[in-house]
Amino acid sequence: MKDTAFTILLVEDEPAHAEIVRRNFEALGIDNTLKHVSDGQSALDYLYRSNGFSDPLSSPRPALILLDLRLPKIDGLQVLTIIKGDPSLTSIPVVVLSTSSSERDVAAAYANNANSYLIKPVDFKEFGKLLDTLGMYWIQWNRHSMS
Amino acid sequence: MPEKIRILHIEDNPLDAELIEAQLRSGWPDCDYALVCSEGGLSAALDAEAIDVVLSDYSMPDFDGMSALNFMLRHSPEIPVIFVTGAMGEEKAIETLKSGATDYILKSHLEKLVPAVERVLKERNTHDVKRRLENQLERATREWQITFDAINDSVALIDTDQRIVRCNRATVVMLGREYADLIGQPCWKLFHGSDEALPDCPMNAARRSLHSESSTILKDDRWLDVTVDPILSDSGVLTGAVHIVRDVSDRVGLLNSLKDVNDLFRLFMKHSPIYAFIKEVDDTESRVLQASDNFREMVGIDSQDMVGKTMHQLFPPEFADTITADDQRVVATKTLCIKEEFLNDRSYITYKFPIERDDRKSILAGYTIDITERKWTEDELKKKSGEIEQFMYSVSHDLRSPLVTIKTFMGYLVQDMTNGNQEHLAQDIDYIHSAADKMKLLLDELLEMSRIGRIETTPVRVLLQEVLQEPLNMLAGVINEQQVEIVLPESELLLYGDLQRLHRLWQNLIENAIKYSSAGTIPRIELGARQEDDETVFFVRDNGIGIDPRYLDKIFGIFEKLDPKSPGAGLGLPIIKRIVELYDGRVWVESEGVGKGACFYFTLPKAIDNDGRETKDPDSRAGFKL
Repeated sequence: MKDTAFTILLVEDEPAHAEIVRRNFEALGIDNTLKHVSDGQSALDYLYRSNGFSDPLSSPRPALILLDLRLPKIDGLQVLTIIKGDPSLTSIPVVVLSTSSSERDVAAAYANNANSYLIKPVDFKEFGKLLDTLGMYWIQWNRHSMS
Repeated sequence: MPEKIRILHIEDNPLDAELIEAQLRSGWPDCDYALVCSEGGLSAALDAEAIDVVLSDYSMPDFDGMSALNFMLRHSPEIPVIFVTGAMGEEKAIETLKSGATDYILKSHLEKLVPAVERVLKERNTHDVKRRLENQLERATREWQITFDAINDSVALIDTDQRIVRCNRATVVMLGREYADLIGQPCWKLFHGSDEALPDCPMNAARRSLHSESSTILKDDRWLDVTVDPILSDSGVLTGAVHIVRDVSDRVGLLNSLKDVNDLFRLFMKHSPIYAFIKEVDDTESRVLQASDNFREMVGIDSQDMVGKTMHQLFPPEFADTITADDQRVVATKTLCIKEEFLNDRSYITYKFPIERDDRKSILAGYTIDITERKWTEDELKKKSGEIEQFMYSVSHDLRSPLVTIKTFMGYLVQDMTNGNQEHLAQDIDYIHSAADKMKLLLDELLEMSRIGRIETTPVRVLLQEVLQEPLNMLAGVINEQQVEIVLPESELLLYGDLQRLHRLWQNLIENAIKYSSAGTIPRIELGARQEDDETVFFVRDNGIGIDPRYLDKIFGIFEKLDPKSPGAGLGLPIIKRIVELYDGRVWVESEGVGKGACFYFTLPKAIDNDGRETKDPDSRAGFKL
């Protein structure tokens, strides 16, 4: 990795799935930049530095958000709407990472300005490949805005 | 001359007779000659054989010539009579000819006799043919008229102007007029008393179709079937028609008078289970002419009192504006209007159509059908199918999630075994285990949820306190373990419903309250029912972790869990909601916030009697059987 200064915010309620992402990113050498929250409310708390996320050092602004759609408390789609509706957050790329292949979800995510929509594969190798590519593209190749 | 001629001679003078016979035989040697001298003889001779010609003396003492002639004219007018006489003045001769004699010969000029008879016979021959033809024609005409008159229906031949050319006796009887008065009169005037052709006369249709046409017309309380069969010339041009009228009033039976028709129509309107109405519309208003009795339910006044009322006198202003405009459009454009209407929380569909008449009034008629129940069912169905879709979506998503876990960690497992990564190995197996457990739980709860709606046991009447015993027994282990304090209601309330559903409902709520109890506090769960306005509200109050008010609406959703680490698949509350809805009830939760405890409320209208109190008479609650 040429640069590991980026923070990735993973919003995922399923601990096993968070572990899969963590392990893959660890293999890519970017695990120390991964911040995990497990519901929609915590994601917003993190982004707005409230309720235990007030320290900018331990909760830095993410350069990428990996967002599950079905989330406790506040729905992933709602979180997405809030991020994309807030000028201070809208520049952060949001990649939806969901088990749902429903067209309704895909369309709703893009309608709310998701940057990408990825479906969690029901296959070890496929999931690994997807996360490798994801990490490669969004962390290594993609140029992020610093503001 | 045909074969033998037969001559009958009336003469009292044997000498003259001999002379005349001789004279005749000079012309026809073998002619049949018979002589009579009295009326009796004449009559007998005429009856005995056919006679071609009669010769008669004029002046005879016993039986004079004029008497003989008169007898002949009465008895056999077709037989020519020639007077053969001794003396006859010219005046007398002319008188006899006028009276019906064919000719006269003077005995002094007997040489003229044979030519005279010859002439008479020849004339008679021509006469015969003509007479025969005339007879035949007359007979045919008579027979036709007899047939024509034997027909019970009125049959008339009419011309293209619909005027009677000829008609039968039934027509005369039906119209009660003289035959002669009917001829030349138009059918509409005679049969229908109209001053102009009737628009529904089948002749109009027959003119167009050139085929037989019929219609039934009511005239003076009689129902008449009118059929018009067009008569066409060889070139196919309409030259007239046969106009047949049959009185079918007896067959129509009940409807044999206009009054009956009116009565029936009025009763039909009155009793119509579908709202029925007739209105008169002008540029400013639409007024009721007739309305069915059931309008009382809709507008609150009797149908007879609705007559003459405008829409604005019957309905709220906005609604009246709309239907008045609709009515005006119907009569102006002469089109059918089908429209859904909404009044006082009920939905209707109305069909309105113009009734066209000759007068200038604009009339419309219509029906209104109450479709409230149908619409409600449709909406429910829509809602239900939406729920099912959402459910299927959630299920497929939530089943996929543990599958992703299992498949992926199976991959890691193989990888970690190869690498000998012991630390990861145990973790891999744990993840696989918990994902499989989650799937099992999910399937169990799905099954339970499906069972709750599907399987129904015979409803029973049971005290609330008895209902609560079973769930408390089921949860006795965890209640003891966590030293949960349960507060039972003192209510004597009697419930009526499926015992299994009622058990499940309370069990899920109590379980839920225990699951979300606050750490370090003795859980206290209060179960009860209280009367609020006109409904009984049940509640389960706990002193647990409470719920953030922001998420109160979300928690009854399928697979919704506020805390991902909490046990269960997220179907506990949806099952509660499902059961409550089966009893037409509502369920909601109140909580002042995190750490402040929560209280779940629900109603069960179908499992309880109206006023919420126990009634001794079980029949009075029959309506609440589920």
